[in-house]
Amino acid sequence: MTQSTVTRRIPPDDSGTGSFGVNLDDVLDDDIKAGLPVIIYARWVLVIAGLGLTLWNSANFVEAQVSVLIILVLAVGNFFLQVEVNRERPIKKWIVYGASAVDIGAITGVLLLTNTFPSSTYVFFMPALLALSVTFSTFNTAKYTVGAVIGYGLISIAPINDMGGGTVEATSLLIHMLILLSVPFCGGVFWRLERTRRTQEINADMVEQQLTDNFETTSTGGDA
Amino acid sequence: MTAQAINTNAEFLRRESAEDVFYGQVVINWARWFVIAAGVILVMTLTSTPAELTVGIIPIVGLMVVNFYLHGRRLAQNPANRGLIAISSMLDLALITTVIAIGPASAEAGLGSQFYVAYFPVIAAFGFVMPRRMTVVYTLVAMIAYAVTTLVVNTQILSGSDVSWIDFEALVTRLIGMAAVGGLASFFWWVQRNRRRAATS
Repeated sequence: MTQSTVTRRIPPDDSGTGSFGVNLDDVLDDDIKAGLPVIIYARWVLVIAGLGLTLWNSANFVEAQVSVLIILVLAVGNFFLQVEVNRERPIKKWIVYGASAVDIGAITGVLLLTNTFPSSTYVFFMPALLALSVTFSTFNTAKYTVGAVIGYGLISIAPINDMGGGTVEATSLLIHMLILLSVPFCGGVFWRLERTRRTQEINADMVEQQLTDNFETTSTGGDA
Repeated sequence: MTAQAINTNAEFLRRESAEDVFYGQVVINWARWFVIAAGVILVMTLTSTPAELTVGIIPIVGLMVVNFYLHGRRLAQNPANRGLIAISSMLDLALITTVIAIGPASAEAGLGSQFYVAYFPVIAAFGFVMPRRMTVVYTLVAMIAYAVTTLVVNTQILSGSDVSWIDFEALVTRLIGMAAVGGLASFFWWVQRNRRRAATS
């Protein structure tokens, strides 16, 4: 047995009991760990762009105050996560899930505060949901996405009514909600594809290694 | 010996890149289905005459044909190559930009068009599949196309020395969103590539 075989990584497997003794929980942790930087960068985009846009052109003082407060809280939380990742310290799952829920809640809150439709703040859902979809499992991503879509739909009703909403606004809302689904859906498809691909490649690599090891053992035995 | 090592490495990179396209192109197909669905909703609800419906639906049917062909090839394990994927993705951008430029009516064109959201899934999908340089170019093309279209259609945004700051802010916010989605998708593509290499090394 060569050293490389001993230290080789265990391959992920969707069934939870792969051919090389896979533990699905470890795989999930590994996936979250790999996707966490994407969430952190997405949140920095939200913080920097959100702060810049709020300070640049805010119509209402109270609205600006609340927005800045929300953004600063997000920045502090993200700074903590960024430091923990850089120090390679273990981060509890609930913190990552909770922070992501806060992201969605913050964007929804700012939209509720501005009470306009269509609002450009909507676009901040996109990087946030994309980051979630490549980090969390499909089921968890679906929960966040459905939450965001329902939340966005509900908070859009009031401004659309105020505008005396017609077909144009209803169509815009429908398209916005559809696209809110599409980005995490595509992210989820890619996440699953990559997981399968990684599994196949690791399995193929391990089979190849075992064949090599068997060949070496047989050869050695034959020579002896 | 060194030349052989370089050739082996180049072959590995070429194969890896081809596999990225082989496995990932279904994400682009799915993103295009969402764009098609959004286009159908737009045309069906915002057109009022058979002539408008005809003009509106023809490009969407064309995109559907393209996607049936590409998705069908993928399902038949005979996926398209990188060139074809890149061309079809540029076609997506062209169609979205055209819808934004023309709109079902003048009020729903340019900045008033909410169809700009269709850029997001196609940019994300492209970033997941293609190498970083190509994603950067694709995202920039989308951003420039949208900015130019909007500035041409909505001349009030930059009218001489007068700037409509509210409209300008909306444009900038949307462009930031597009850049963020492209950047994050490409970053995750890089993360996944490194994970695969680490797992099999």
